[in-house]
Amino acid sequence: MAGTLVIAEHRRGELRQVTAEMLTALRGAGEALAPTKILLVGAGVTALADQADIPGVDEILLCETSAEHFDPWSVENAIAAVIAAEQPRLIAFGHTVDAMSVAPALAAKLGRELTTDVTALRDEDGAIVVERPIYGGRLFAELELPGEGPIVTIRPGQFDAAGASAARAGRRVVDPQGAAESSPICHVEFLEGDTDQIDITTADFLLAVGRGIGDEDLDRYADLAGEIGATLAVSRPLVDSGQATGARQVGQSGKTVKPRVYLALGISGAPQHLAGMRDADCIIAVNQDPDAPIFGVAHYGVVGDLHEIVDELVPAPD
Amino acid sequence: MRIMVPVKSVAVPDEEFELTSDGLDIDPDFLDFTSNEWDPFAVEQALQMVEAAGGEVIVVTVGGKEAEEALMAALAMGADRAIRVDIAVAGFDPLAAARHLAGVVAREAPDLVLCGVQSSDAAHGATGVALAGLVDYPHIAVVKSIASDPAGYLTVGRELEGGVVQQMEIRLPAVLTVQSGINDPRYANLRAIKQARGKPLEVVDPASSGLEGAAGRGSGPRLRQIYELKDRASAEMIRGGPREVAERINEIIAEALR
Ligand SMILES: Cc1cc2nc3c(=O)[nH]c(=O)nc-3n(C[C@H](O)[C@H](O)[C@H](O)COP(=O)(O)OP(=O)(O)OC[C@H]3O[C@@H](n4cnc5c(N)ncnc54)[C@H](O)[C@@H]3O)c2cc1C
Ligand SMILES: Nc1ncnc2c1ncn2[C@@H]1O[C@H](COP(=O)(O)O)[C@@H](O)[C@H]1O
Repeated sequence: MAGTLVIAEHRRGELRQVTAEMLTALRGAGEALAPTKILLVGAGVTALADQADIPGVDEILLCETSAEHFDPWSVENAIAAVIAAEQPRLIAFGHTVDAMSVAPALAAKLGRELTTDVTALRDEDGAIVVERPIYGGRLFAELELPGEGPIVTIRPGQFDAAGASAARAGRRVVDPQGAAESSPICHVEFLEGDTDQIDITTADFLLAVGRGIGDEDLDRYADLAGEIGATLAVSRPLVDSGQATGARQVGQSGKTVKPRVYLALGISGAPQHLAGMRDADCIIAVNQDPDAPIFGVAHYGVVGDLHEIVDELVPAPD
Repeated sequence: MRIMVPVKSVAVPDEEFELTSDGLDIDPDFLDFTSNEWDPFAVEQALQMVEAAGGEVIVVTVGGKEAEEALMAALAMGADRAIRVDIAVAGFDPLAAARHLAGVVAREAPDLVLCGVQSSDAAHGATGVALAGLVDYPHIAVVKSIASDPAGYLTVGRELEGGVVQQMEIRLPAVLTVQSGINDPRYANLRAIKQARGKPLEVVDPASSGLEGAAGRGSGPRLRQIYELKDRASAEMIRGGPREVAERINEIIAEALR
């Protein structure tokens, strides 16, 4: 029982960035979690091996299956077989939509401990210690993971992505045991997201509003955005309730934005929202809750009622 | 079609709260309980499917008396009956609730289990898929559309990062976790809320009912300490009256856009 097995995430022929971020997290955790093997599962993954040559990777395991696109069933079976053969001390996924379909079932089937949405990871005298949010990110918990080969899912965007490596890690082909049996799940097609007229990703100044606006009409904020020279963006609940279109949604399942100014009103700062805006140059957050996680990424914060402040905002200079 | 919907009463801390004396949790005096944000979407989905195809909707929760809040809300929306597995589960173990739900699946043998994608307090995003692993049902997480296919299959849309949707076909019985925005959950009117009190609500003791569920091999992650974000927040806080604060914001914006 040694080392870490990183489950690489890839979609439509591209390795996803969270994979490199996990390597950064593991390098920060030090030698105790080394060596690191990275596992690629799916049809055609051999072609992705070069992308998986990330600093810190000691070996690349290639598991070719017949599933051309992700399906939880075949991926899970393949990973289970590799875990049994490799006996890693830790198994790491990204906390992503794919992992949410796989990691918990794997933990349940293999009798492993599971901790999701991990924001810090280290080894302390032989104990694997992680941090994760609780109560909607208003508090964080420090947890110790007992038992053999626990499974963690690591928050995307929390660690910088490691660049490509000059070194070449060894490649090894592993057998997709079980994954070949007929799956109860199959891919049908991909449907692209909203293709609307508005493009919030090119705006310099976003006025982003969340559920904190209360029962007020969103039009009020569309007008305000117009007055102050900003483009209106929203958090997910305003899209779910039909007040805004998906094109204005910032976050994991919406758009990723990097404006010069992101003025967030009444947005708590859930990880899926932060995923879309944490790299903005200047983030200003107004929230009445001093523990709102948005203050963890904001450059400037105001604890207060947004309604008292919006009337005083003036047009930004051109 | 028999659809089981696991629902959770989530804890919402007051704006100001205190920790328990051991410093390992929020003092329960500062917590309110309410239905998990995602669960009404799962309940609504189940109701619509049963209205279209016949069957029943069973809502299940694992927790103490405060967990009945979520059951009553689901019954008022139209669920047929409710089960509460009377045991408090550790908030740090994403497999704990799933183990007890597995016992209920074994007894009720639902054709479909619809969970929420995540709970707004613990936010494991794991219970449904862990349950599926325990009972060996096919499963897909973060589902934003469900259409019935003939012959024991469903076509579901899995919401990916960036809003792309992957359409997949899945064989029943199955577990899906339902994403917010999949439908428009109905409001329960006063009459429905009253009627809900007359619907069957079975409280089961997991130790004596044969519903102890899957044997837990692990004890769950061990909690060492909790800490507040405040201690680590990076933001420079702007203080003052609304006008002063707004003026400062105006300045910062003008500066940043220059
Ligand atoms: C798979 C998945 C994908 C997701 N994708 C996204 C995504 O792309 N984008 C996204 O945004 N979310 C996404 N979410 C949802 C996310 O988890 C949160 O539920 C959501 O971001 C919360 O939005 P909010 O901050 O507006 O609302 P809340 O979390 O309800 O926050 C409202 C905030 O307003 C504050 N407030 C209330 N009244 C006032 C007032 N008068 N003045 C000042 N402040 C006030 C409150 O203190 C609170 O902090 C996703 C979730 C999942 C599971
Ligand atoms: N104690 C519980 N009782 C019943 N269902 C639960 C419980 N905890 C979680 N769930 C279900 O699992 C979903 C996701 O919760 P979680 O895995 O805690 O993020 C919820 O929306 C519920 O459907």
